[in-house]
Amino acid sequence: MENYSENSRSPLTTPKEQPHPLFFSLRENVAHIQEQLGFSSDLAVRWVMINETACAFLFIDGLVDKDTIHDYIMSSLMLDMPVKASSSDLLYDRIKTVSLPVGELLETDDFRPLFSSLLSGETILLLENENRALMANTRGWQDRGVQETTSEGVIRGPKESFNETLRTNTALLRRKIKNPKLRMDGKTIGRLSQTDIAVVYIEGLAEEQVVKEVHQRLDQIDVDSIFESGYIEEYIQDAQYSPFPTIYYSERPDAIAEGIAKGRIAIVIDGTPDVLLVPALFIHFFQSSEDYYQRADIGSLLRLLRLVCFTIALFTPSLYIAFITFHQEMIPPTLLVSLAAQRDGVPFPAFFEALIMELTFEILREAGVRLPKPVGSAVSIVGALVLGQSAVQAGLVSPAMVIVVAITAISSFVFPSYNIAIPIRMLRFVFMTLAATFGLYGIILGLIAMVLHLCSLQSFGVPYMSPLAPMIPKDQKDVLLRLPHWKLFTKSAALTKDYKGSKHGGTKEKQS
Amino acid sequence: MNQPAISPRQFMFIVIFFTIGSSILIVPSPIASAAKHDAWVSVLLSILVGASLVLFYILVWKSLKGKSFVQACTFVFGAWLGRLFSFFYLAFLYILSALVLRNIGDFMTTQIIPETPLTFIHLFFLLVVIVGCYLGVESIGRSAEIFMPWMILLFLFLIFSITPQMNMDHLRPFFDSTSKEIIDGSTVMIGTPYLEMVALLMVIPYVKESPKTAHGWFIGSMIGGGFLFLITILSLLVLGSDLTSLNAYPTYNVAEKINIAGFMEGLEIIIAIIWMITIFFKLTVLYYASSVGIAQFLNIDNHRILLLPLGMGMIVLSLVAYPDMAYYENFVADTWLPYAVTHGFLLPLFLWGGLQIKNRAQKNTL
Repeated sequence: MENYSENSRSPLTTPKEQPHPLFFSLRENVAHIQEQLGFSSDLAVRWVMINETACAFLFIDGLVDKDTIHDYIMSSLMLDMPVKASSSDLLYDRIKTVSLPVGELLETDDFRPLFSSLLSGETILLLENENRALMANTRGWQDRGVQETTSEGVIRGPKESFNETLRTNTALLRRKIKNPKLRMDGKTIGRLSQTDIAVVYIEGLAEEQVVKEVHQRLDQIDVDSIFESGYIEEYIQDAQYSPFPTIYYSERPDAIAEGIAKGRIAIVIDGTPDVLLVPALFIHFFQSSEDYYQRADIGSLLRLLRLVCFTIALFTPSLYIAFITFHQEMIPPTLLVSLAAQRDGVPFPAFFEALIMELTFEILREAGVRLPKPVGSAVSIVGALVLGQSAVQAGLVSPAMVIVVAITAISSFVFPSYNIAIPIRMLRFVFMTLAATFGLYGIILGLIAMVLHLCSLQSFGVPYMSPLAPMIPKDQKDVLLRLPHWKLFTKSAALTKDYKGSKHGGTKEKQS
Repeated sequence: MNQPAISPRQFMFIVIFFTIGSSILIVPSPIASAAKHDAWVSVLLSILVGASLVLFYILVWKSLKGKSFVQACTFVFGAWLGRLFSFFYLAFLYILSALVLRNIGDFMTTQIIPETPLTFIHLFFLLVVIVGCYLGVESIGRSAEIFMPWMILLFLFLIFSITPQMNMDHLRPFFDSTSKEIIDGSTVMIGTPYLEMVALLMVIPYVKESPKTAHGWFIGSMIGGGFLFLITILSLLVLGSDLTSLNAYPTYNVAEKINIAGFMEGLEIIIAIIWMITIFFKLTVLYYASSVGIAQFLNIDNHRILLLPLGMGMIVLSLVAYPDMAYYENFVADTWLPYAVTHGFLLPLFLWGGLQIKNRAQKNTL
C-alpha cells in the first residue's frame, strides 16, 4: 500500500505485474485467487464435481450475466455432460471443445490474464490437477442502456447517445459504419484502474502518421487511473497551455461516425459516454452533425450564425466598455443620449459594471449545473428577477448592461460543442480588461494576438486553423458553408492524404 | 530539417499588408501637397517605378540562392566588410521599424485614445509584435490569411459607403500639374513602401520553394499599390487636394464623412482597424527581419532570445526618433528618400554585383 501513498506518479506494483503460473492443485489456485482479492465479498466461488473431478467456477458477482452462467455453463456442464472422460486431461479438452456453449472462450496458464478477465466480468473455470484455466465471457452488468442524449440535443437526426460501456459504444459505431476496414485497436491504460480503450478509425482513410501518433501518445500515458476521457485528453492534447481545445468530444454516435468517415480517429474510453475525436480543428467545434441532416442552405446559414455568436459572446461586453469609456463620439448621437440617460446615477465605471454582471452570470451558471433539480426554479427566479430587474431598479447597473450580459450569455450556448465556449468564457474577461485600459486599440491588439495564437496551434500535426489558414481551397465547401451532399464527394485534404477522390460515405459496395 | 515555411500565397498576403501598412497613413497627404489634384497620377507613376524595383529585388533574390541578405553579405564580402554592409542594412531595418511603430503611436494618440501615453501604446503594440515573432513566420503567414478577407471586406465597405460624398470636380482640371510636381509626389510612395521592401529579402528564404514566390511578390506589391491608389483617389474625391494635404490623416477624415441613413456615423473606426492590422503585419515583418538578421550577424542560432532586448531598444528609439509631427513631415519629404535609396537600392545593387562575380567565379572553379 505504501507504494501509492507517497507519490501518485510513482510506479505501482500489483500482484498482476509479475508472471505467475497457475498451480496444479485446484485448492491452491482458488486459495491464491481469494487471497489476492482479499476474500472480497463479491467474489463468488462455486465448487462442483464434473464426472467425479473437482472443479470450481469463479466470477465477480454483479459484473456477470447470471443467466448465461446458469443456462449455458453450469447446466451444460453439470446436467448435460454425457460421457465419462477417462482422465482429467481429457475432461478439460472435452469441456473446451464440446460441452461449453459460450461464444468467447479463452484459456490461460498464468494468473495475470486470469485476474484481468475475472475482474472484467468473465467466469473462470478451474479443474483439479490442471494448471490451465478456462475463461468464458459472461460479461453483463447493469448500465443505463442507450438513451437519448442530454447534453447535445438536435431537432432532426438520431437521438441516441453513447453510454458508459465500451462495447456498447463501439457497437454503436460499427452499426453506423459497416465496413471491414473499420479498425478498433484495443489498449489498457491506468495501472490501477486498468481501463479499456479503443482507438477507432478506418484504415486507408485516416492518415497513417496520425494513427501512429495517437498510439504513441496513448502508450506514453503512465497514470494510476482513468475515469473519464478528460484524463486522456489532457495527456495527449497538443497545446497544454492554450485555452482552446485541440480535441473534440461528443456523446453522439452519429457525430463521431461522421468524423471517422472523414478520416479522423476516435478514442473510446470505457466508463464514459464522451468519445474523443482527433485531429480537431477550430472549425470543427462550430459544425454540428445536424448541419448535414438539415437542408444545405439552412445548414450553411446556421454555421455562419454560430461564428457570429462566437464574436458576440467574445466581444460584446468589451466593445460596450470601450465605446462607453473611450469612444463616445463613435456611438450615434440618439443612441448615446439614451445610453447616457440610463447610466445616469449608476455609481460604477462601465468596466466594473460589466465585471459584476458577468461574474454574477458565471456564478448563476455554475450554480445551475450543481443545483438539485427541485431547487433549480428558485434560482432562476432569483437570478432573473432579483439580480436582473432589481439591480437595475436599485440603480446599481444600467439596463443596457443587462442586455449586453444577456446576449453574451445566450450566444455562448449556441455552439454544438460545449468546450469551445470555455475559451470564450475565460477570454471575455481578458478582453474586458483590455477594453477598459486601451479601448478599441486594446481589443484589436488582443484579437490579433488571439489569432496569432490560434494560428500557432496544431492538433496531431494538422494546423488548427486549417483549412482557413493555411488556406485549402478544395476544402472550403464544408467549412463555413455546407454545400449540398452531392458536391461534397471529395475528402478533406487537411485530414487525409491517401484516400483522395473517394466517394463521400466510404466504399459503397461493402454496404450491401 | 524542420525549417519553418510559408506558402507563396501567404507570402503574397504578407507583401500586400506590407505595402499598405503605414503607407496608408502617411502617403496621401504629402503626395497631395506635392502634386495637388493630380496626386493619383503620381501614385500610378510610383507604382510603375515600384514594379521595376520589385523586379530588381526578385533578381537579387534569385542570385541569393536561398541565403538571406545578411548571410549573402558575409558570403560575398567576407566576414568584416560583409558585416559592415549588413550593419547598415540592419540599422535601416531597425530604424524603419521604430518609425513604423511611432506612426501607429502618433495616430492613436492624436485620433483614437488621446489620453493614453505614447509609451504604453508602443509597449503594448510591440508586445503583440514580439508574440508574433516568437511564434514564428508560419503563424504570421497563417494570420495574414485569416485577416486578409476581413481587410478586403472593410475596405470595400468603406469605398461603397463613401460613394455619395464623392465629387469628380475635385480632380479637374486633369493633368495640369507640371511633371516636376508629379515626380515630386511620386517619390514619397517610392520611398514608402517600395524601397522598404528590401526587408523582405530577409524573410523570403522562409517561403516554400516554388516558382510562384516571385510571382507572389510582384502581384502582392501591385495589389498593395492598387489599394494605395484607391485610398489616395478616395481622399482626393471626397476631400479635395487642399484638405487632403492639410490633414495629417486624410483617409481617416474621409471615413468620418460616412453617413448611412443618418444613423451609421462615426465609422472611422473601420479605417483604424485596417490601419492597425496592416501596420501590425508590416512591423512584424520588419521586426522579424531585423531580429533574424541581427541573430545571423552575431552568429546566434536562435533569434528568439533577441526579441525582448531589441524591443526595449526599439521603444526608446521610437520615442526619441523625432520631436513632433512637423519635424517628421520634413523628414519624410526630404531625408527619407535619400536614406531609403542608399539602403534600399544601392546596397542590394552592390550585393547583387558582388554575387554575380562570386557566382561566376565559383562556376569557373568547378
